[in-house]
Amino acid sequence: MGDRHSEMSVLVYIDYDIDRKLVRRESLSLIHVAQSLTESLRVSLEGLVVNSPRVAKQVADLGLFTRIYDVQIENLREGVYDPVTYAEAVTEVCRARDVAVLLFPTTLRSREIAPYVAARLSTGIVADVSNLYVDEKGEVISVKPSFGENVLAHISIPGRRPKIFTVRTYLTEVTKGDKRTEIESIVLKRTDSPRMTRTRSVNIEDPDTAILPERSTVVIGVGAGVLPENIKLLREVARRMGIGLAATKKVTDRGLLPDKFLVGESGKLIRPRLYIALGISGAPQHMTGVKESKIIVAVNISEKAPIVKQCDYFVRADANELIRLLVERVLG
Amino acid sequence: MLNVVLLVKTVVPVVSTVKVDEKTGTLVREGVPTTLNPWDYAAIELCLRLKQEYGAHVVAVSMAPPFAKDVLDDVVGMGIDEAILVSDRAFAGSDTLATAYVLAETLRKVVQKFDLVVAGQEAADSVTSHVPAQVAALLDLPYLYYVTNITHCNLVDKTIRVERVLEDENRVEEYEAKLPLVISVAKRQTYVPVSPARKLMSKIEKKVQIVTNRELGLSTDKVGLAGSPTRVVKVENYVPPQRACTVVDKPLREVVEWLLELIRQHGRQAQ
Repeated sequence: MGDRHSEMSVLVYIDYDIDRKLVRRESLSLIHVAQSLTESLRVSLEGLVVNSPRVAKQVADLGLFTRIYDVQIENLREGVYDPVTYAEAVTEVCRARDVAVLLFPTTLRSREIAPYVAARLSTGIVADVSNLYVDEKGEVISVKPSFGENVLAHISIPGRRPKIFTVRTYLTEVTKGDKRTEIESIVLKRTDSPRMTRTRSVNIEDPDTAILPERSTVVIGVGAGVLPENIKLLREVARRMGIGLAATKKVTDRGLLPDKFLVGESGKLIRPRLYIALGISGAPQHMTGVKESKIIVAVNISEKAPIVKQCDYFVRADANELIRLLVERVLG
Repeated sequence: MLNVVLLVKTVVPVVSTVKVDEKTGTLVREGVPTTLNPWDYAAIELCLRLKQEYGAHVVAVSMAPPFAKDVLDDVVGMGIDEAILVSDRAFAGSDTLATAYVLAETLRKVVQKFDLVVAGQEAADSVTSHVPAQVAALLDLPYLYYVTNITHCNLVDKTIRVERVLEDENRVEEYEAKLPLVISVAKRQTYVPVSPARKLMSKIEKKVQIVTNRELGLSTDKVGLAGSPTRVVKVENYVPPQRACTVVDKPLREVVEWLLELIRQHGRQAQ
């Protein structure tokens, strides 16, 4: 595996859509966290792409990384995928190189691979961190919200290398940088035949689905105070008006909306220009995901709900009543 | 014969009742009521189906303080064959890696023979999804997350076909794997009732085996706090950012018009 580089790095695992060969926005959205970490640690910023020279080139062209590892696996065609082969590839690169910190985005494929890599390397992993910093002793500290307990936990992984974190960030458009990115190809040998093969992959895009919360400048959020039948109606209203839909954990846990609409600690972080919170009490678990919205309007039946102090406009009303009127007005 | 291990976890139903140990930064679990992780029910349902369709033998395994035995009697009461509670003071304070190590060693040393390990997608209280992946990695087994269905299982050549949904990519995938394999089952709101008679039998026939570190013989620097690479450095109270709030005191019909105007002003779909 090539020459051993002596310099240390912060390495970002670049997740991409395996079938379309496109970089997932989540992979690049953590670049700000990664950059500030490399500056504090005075190490270089590197990226790792498994089994797609095309994606490696795409990322290298952005000029954000010092080096991109274009990791290929012997006899594995582009588009062939199984999580363990990919995890083993990441593991091998970490064993051969001096990786101080390994960052993963929070896409589902990354959340599958990251803990596997951590255990293979006998190192620590912290999930869903919102920020990373270096303390006065030079230790990398992650900040992990744990809002069930209303706390931010600061967690380190002392004395281990690499320290592994999955990073939950705002989805951002990435502007091109001016770094000259070196692409380093690494070809890994396969030690045994794969024990798992992906035999089918089908896109199930639903044309009638509501707009995702990160895709709109205006978002309506639904909480436990909204009746299930009204969530259905609101979904239609939001789609018709071209505005995004968001949900609290109580709503997605009940299966009333899919997880892709979940906003907050364990979901997405959004910053729309206008956020309309319907029947949402204002638990930190959810509010952390919308706190950077420009305007927050809350409709809640109780003026004692915590959201009252966290919004710009408060309407004291049953959100279900308001939805009924909104439906009448928009859907006719 | 299909030998299945079911990994289950006990969780604290209302997380805000938990205290954080100021010295170690870990959760104080003593004296706090625990229940079965709600996302484990989907895994239990799948195991019960494997019993029905393939005559599988299912052993539930959980690492928890001794009071979790009752939850495991419940699990047997739901129709799972037997259970192992892995419990030892030495394991207290384990992070996900140390927990996975204890579970992997229990599978290796106590369960010994297994074809499939089934877990829930995540614990409702910590939501990391780490442990099943780490158990797989430590046992050198393939792992698949977000599984929605086992579509076929061939007991002769020991292969399995599973389906999973990656919601963030709107994608359904199918995988074929050689057993043994570790899977975690996509979360779904479901419930498996406990048969009181079966639970009673579980207690009488001692279907829940307690395993301590006497049986496992794990080095104490690989378990508990000492065996956990992650350290909680500090815990700070979170104060949500406050905003100066204007109360909108209008009839609801007018509120709707005002909202529609606000939406018009700020609405432009990003993409």
